[in-house]
Amino acid sequence: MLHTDSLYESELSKLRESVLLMGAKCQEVVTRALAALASREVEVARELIPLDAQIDQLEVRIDDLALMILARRQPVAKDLRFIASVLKMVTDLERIGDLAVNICERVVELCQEPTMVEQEEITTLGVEVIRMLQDALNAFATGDATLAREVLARDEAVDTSFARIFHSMVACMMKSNENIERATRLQSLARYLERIADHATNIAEMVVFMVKGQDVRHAPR
Amino acid sequence: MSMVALASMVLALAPFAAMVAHALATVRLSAAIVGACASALLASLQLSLITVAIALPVGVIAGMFIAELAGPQAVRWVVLGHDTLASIPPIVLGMFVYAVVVLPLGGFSLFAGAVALALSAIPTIALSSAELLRLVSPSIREATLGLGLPRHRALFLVLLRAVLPGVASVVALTFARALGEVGALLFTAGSSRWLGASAPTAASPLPLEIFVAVQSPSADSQGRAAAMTLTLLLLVSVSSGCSRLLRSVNR
Amino acid sequence: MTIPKLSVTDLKAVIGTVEALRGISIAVAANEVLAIIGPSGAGKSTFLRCLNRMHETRPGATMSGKVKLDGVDIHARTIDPVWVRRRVGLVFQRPNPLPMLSIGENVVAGLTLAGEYIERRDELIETMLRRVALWNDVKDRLGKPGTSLSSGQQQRLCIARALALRPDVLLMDEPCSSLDPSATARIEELLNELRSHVTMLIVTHNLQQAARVADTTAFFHEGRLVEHDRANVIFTNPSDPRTEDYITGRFG
Repeated sequence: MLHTDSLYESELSKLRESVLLMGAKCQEVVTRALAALASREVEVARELIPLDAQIDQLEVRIDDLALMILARRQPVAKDLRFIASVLKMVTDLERIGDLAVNICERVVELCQEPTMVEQEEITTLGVEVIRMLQDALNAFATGDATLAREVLARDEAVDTSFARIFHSMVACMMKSNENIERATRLQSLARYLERIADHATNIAEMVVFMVKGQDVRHAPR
Repeated sequence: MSMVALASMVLALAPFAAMVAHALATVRLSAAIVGACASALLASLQLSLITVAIALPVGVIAGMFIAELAGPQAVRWVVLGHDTLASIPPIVLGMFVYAVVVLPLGGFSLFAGAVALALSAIPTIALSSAELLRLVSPSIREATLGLGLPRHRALFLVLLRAVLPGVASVVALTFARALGEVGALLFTAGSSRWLGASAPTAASPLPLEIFVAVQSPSADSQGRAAAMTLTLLLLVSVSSGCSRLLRSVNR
Repeated sequence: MTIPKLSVTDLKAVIGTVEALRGISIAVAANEVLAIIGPSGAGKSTFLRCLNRMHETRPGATMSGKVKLDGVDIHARTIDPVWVRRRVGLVFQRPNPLPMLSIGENVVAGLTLAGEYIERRDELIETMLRRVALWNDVKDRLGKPGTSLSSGQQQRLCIARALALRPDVLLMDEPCSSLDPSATARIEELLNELRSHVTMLIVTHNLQQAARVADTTAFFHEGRLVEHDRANVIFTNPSDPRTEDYITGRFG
């Protein structure tokens, strides 16, 4: 059922769309950065870095809109949970934006060095993490708590992948000193991806709260 | 507009003025007459007071009954009774009271006169009180209910106090009207003078005195009638004025 | 297990041909503040009036079901409705101080008009007026008529008058709907302080007021109790979609 006040309804829609736009931008940066890594296109990676400014601007706009709705509409029940979730989610998305920029910077550096075989694993991890973010945002868009819970379940696998990559990089470094710089950079990249997955998980937790009213943060999975 | 107002004022005051002029022309102010005027004045006041004393409680209680306590069927009958009573000519009421009060008591009295006057005043007081009670704001009634007051206390201690100003106005009116009544008094409060006795045993109210005095053609009688008339006019003006004052104070 | 202060079982009420209440069952604990919300015509005011036996004074009104105050059935044959109305006070939507009484007389009207002797009358008046935060405003003019106050002050006077009877339960039917925001705020503050003295049931159209003031909230719709829960829960995560639609303003 829609609000009897259609202006209110449109304000909530605008908020939702802004969040999804912000999420889409974050996704775009990460996807294209990893593609640039695979295809060794330094310029592409460099061009992505300024997109972070757009992401930050969106955060400010979303916060403003959410605050205005809180003040003027005094939302309750699911509207209140929606606004509260949005306010929390944008901080996660903003962090994802920052991490995406960090990834770009590492990619720029890595492209200037020969490829390492282990990069394959990173690409696989990247694909999985992007899918998690995508699904979390979809769950938000459609109010799908089940999908959100699935995202929560996948975080563990990501953590395991990250641990594996970390150790394989350590092994690389032990093999030869030449590898140290590259391996370190790849480790950082993997860590950024793992952190993005954590933020995607946070987003999924907020979706569950928004839809069901259950706070599943810090709960054993 | 003002021409019409002026014209109607003249029309109303002209007979009054003519009457006063005639009275002033024929008046005789001997000591006896002034004394008689004074006792008649007193009798009139007493009569009105007793009338009010009888009519007020009966009328107000009847009013309360109509407005608060009776079912719709009973109300219709009671109101019919009151309307009927109000439409009976005062002289007929006087004859009725002659039969039930004067004869058993063995003579005329102010009390009998008061009963007759009260009978014609009660319907007015009852119906006015009922109307006033109906007009009391429902929020006051709700307030008394909410405070857990029993019905009879709410009625007597709150609702009656709320309509007191209105009832006081009606009572003042009754008082003023009783001063001028003569029809009802003919068979009830008439003094022994009317029966032809030489010495009055009790004073009669002013209108009755005027009626008696006017019938005798002697200049002395006419003078006496004129004096009584002037006294009565004065009395009625004063009490009407008081009644109006009361009404304006209450607004 | 403690007996609830007020316990209602399957309360049905009819006014003329209209079914105002269709079987309400609810319990209110002592010193609890219950807000009753719902659209117009949902039966909220009728419900309140059943709790202090004022409903039966309305022509054409009947009711069935049980209402128990401290475990005592208030409609039992041995119970005097007047006694019920003193244990369960009612504050109305529009303030109604008795116009023929002064401010001080209004406060103790419930006792004096009932013919009861009041020991330390002035003390009682002062205590009650202090309790409703009116003492400082009126202490110099206790003799003035009750209607000479502003409507916010009049409403507080009516609350003081109800409290002077030391009721167990105070029912309030939209107590602030005819008051301006600052008067409303003062009364809400007052409600918080009164908690320790009485159990309160407040019918309100103002959802924010219900959210601010109440411990528990009950949502009425078309004569039925749809949902009854802690106010936190109702306003953050109600169970029934009808409740959610009403409080978020989606009511069609």
